[in-house]
Amino acid sequence: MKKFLALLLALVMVIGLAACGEPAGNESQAPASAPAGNSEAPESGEPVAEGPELSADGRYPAETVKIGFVNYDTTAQQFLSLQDYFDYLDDYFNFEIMYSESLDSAEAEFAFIEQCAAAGCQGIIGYYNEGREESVKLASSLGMYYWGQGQDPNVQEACGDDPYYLGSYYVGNADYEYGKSVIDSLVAADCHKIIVVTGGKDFGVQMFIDRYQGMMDAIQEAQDGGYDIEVVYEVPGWPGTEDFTAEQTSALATDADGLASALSALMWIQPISAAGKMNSIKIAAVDTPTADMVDLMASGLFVGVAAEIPDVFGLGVPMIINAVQGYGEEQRNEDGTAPLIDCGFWLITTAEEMEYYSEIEQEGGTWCFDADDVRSILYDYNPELTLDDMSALYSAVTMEEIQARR
Amino acid sequence: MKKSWETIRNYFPIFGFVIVVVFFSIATKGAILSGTSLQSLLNQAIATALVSIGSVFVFGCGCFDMSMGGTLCMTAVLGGYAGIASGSIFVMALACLATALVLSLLKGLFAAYVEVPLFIVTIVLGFVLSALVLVIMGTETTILLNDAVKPIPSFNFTQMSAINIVALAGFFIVCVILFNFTALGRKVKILGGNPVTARQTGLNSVNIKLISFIISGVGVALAALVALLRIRSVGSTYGADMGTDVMIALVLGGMPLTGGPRTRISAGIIGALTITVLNSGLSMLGLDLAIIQIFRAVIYLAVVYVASMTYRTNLLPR
Amino acid sequence: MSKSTRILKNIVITLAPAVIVYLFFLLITNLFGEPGFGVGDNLRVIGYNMVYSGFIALAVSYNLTSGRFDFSVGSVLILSLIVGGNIAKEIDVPEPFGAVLMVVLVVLVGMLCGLISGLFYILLRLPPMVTSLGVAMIFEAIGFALFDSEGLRLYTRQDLLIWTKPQNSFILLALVLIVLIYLLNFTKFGYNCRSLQTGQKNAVEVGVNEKTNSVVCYIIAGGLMGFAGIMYISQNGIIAPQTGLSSSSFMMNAFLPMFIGNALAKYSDRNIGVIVGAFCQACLSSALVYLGAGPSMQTVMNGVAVMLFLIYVSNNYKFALHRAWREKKEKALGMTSAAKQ
Repeated sequence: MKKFLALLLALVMVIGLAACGEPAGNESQAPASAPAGNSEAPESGEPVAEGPELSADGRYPAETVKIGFVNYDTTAQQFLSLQDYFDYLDDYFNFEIMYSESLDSAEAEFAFIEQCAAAGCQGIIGYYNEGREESVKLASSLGMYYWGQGQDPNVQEACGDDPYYLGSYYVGNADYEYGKSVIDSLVAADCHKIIVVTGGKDFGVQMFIDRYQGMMDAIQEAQDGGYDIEVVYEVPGWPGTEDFTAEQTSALATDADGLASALSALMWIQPISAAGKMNSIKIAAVDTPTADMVDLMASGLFVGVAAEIPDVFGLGVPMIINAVQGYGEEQRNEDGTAPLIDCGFWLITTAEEMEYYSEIEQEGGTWCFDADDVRSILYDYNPELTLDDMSALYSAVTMEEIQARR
Repeated sequence: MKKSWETIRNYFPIFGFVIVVVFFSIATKGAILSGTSLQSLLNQAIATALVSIGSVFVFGCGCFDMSMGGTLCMTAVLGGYAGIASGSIFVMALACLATALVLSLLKGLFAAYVEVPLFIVTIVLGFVLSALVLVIMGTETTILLNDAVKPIPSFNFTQMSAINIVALAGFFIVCVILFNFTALGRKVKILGGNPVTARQTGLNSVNIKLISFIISGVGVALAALVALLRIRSVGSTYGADMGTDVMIALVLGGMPLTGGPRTRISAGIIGALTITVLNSGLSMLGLDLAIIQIFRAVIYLAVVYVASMTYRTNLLPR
Repeated sequence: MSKSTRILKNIVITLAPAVIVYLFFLLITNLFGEPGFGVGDNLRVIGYNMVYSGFIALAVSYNLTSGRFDFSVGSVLILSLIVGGNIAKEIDVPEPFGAVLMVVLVVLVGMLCGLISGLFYILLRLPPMVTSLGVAMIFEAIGFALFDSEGLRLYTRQDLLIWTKPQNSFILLALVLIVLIYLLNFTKFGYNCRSLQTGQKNAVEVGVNEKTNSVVCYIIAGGLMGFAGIMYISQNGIIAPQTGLSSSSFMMNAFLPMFIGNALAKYSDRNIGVIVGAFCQACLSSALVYLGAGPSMQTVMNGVAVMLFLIYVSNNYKFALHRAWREKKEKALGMTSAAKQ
């Protein structure tokens, strides 16, 4: 009897969950049919000329464009900012993002892409790509557009002609550039003995390998230019393991005066302070701007933060919407290949910049590329649009340039 | 009453599977039953199913092996290297088989001759194997089959599904025959149920364990090969979740993790299908990320609860 | 052997691994021309790692020795820190008490998490590994959903992060150890623990309440993960939430100390043994850093150490058996030869 009761309980629980699950599914359809729900949004939009289908209040495109988002770490600061950005854009455009959980292998990535197809997604934003060109081919074979992964020349070469491949953003070799600029800011701050924090370089994570390479090349360049700089210690990995603590302490026992980190350096503040070196070490890191970092820059502890702009990944949304709306041909290079849109990144060296960027990049912020900017690269709103316009917009990312757009 | 209850509760794992399918069919408005989705589910279930079916033998005779993830990763990586160096699917398959068999034999010898808490050893072994893969790969992050000396044929989504079905069905049938129609199955159950009885009845536990591990090795090799053909690349993180997935699959399939008389070969396949539907369905709901995870946990516990009603004991399980 | 020599012998055997391992690596690192191990700053690191991993290993030991493998310990560490730490951050109390208050809050939240884990286990009656996977997912998700997914950021609050100073961390560890030694050796709870550990069926049949005992073990483990969390945040100043079961990697620090602890238990006390084990592991990881092993090599070496140690511990009774058999044989031979004469 007891067992039957337990069984009944389990059933009720599951059915209850099913009932909870359903409205969540319904909600996704809502924006198309009930634009009234987005009443607070459209203030900024100037009157749009051509009727409801080009409205600025989240009713364009007429049919919801569902986009899959391939992610590798749901807890990363940049992803959290990006999620806020998509929520913001969602008030102005009729699209819906299906986020993956933290994926850690090509196999998991493939599974997610297939689930996206089954769930009716029309495009994929490759924020993470482990399967390289195979991921793009898979999306393409399932009839979904794929946008992302600009740094990988193989993808461009193998899939450039595929009509479902929409290209990517391009910052040169982005991660390499971030690594380089981290060292550059330490050189500018007159640091000579550098601790290099390599993150996942030894765990086969490509972005860390690229960032590390950028750092090493920048150091070489500085040395060639006659600047006295050397790496005194390399710290691999993440906090939480015994060897990380041991490496960290050994690194701080050296006479280093600069710390170059391929990942967020916030976990170094407490150890540096415990070692009594707050005034003798300067930090430059690849990170996402947050309000916390304003004081750190003002105090002079942080001298440079190379930041990938979360909004840049939002470029996938207008690119995919354009393709879905039938402008696939227009947004390709003259030779028919998928375009790489030039994008900028931030090298933040002052507290003022940090304050500005962290303010625009948080929930309720004005963002680097606001709804008007995004609208300007949608062919339905701007039939004269060219790829050069896109590149011009996405590489204009300094404080002055953003302010000039507002 | 007692007898019919016994019969009914044998069907609980299938019942659990049906609950999950019905639940997600409603929640995704049928999207999970679409053609693409079914093919995709099969693609995803395949690795877990192949490894789980093989593991039924290992878990069945009381060997708790948590190193499946590391074994699979090492197998796929070495297989991938062989494939790239030779440009031949055949050589790649051989390398996969050889690696998986060597690793499984080592585990089998360990289980048979060295008295250790195998469960802990295999957890640690899993970590060690993944770390070794990193050491082997050095600065490389991903091995791409496209870099092979001769092009390795690639298969599209539908062809791949066909390969999957053949691999899975073939392995499943062989395992069913071995488990249900030869003495091996009964020996495994007796050994897992009570090693002392097994010894007293004159069973050669060393042989049984070695054969079980070899069968699981074949499953791992097939899983690695199919994955290589489908993904055409392998990285150091491949298969990281397989250890826990296999464990969950067997429990969802209605088999106690301690093995013994309630061991059944169907557990591997039903469990793998259930966990795949569960994982895919949740992603397709498009819920908030934190909610997805809580949902997953609750549904998972509920289904495991139902599926495991086939074997309740008075003592708290360990 | 008199009682005092026996006690002395036990003390020596308990502490011997620590001394031997320390001296061994001191010798090796110096032979390889890499001095610095085990002195000065590095000794402080070894101390820190001993306390940090020691707490985790103690937590795991209360369940794993009774066959309950708990995947959720890492998620308990994160969740208790995020909840307890963020509350402590908001409460304004004079200098040293803020840090103490944080310990109390984090440990309480940890114990609450442990209680929840334990209740899940005894109510669902599923294998603990299976249950704890589900529980870990829930804890991770809660930690992720709270406080804007920011986790806990305390690097500006020096007043709260006083626990990496060796004197403070050792006081913390000593207090915890005293409580645990008392619990495990001098209470009914400890007696029940040990009887359940060696014979679950018999213990339950003679009337040990396994459910209560398990829940208490989970609560203790949760509290200990809270202490480990305090050590973590004091060293790093920041913790981010984790999802997708990645929190389970915290457990890797626990195995070697725990098994060393188990092996030493018969000479003194399991809790002390675990800390001795944690010291040995800390020496191993520091020495490997000095010898230039990368993080993957660290994992391999640590794993190999665990496996070798387990093989030895699980099979050393065979040596004893063999010795007993040889003695018996000699005695028998002696008797036969005596009989012949």
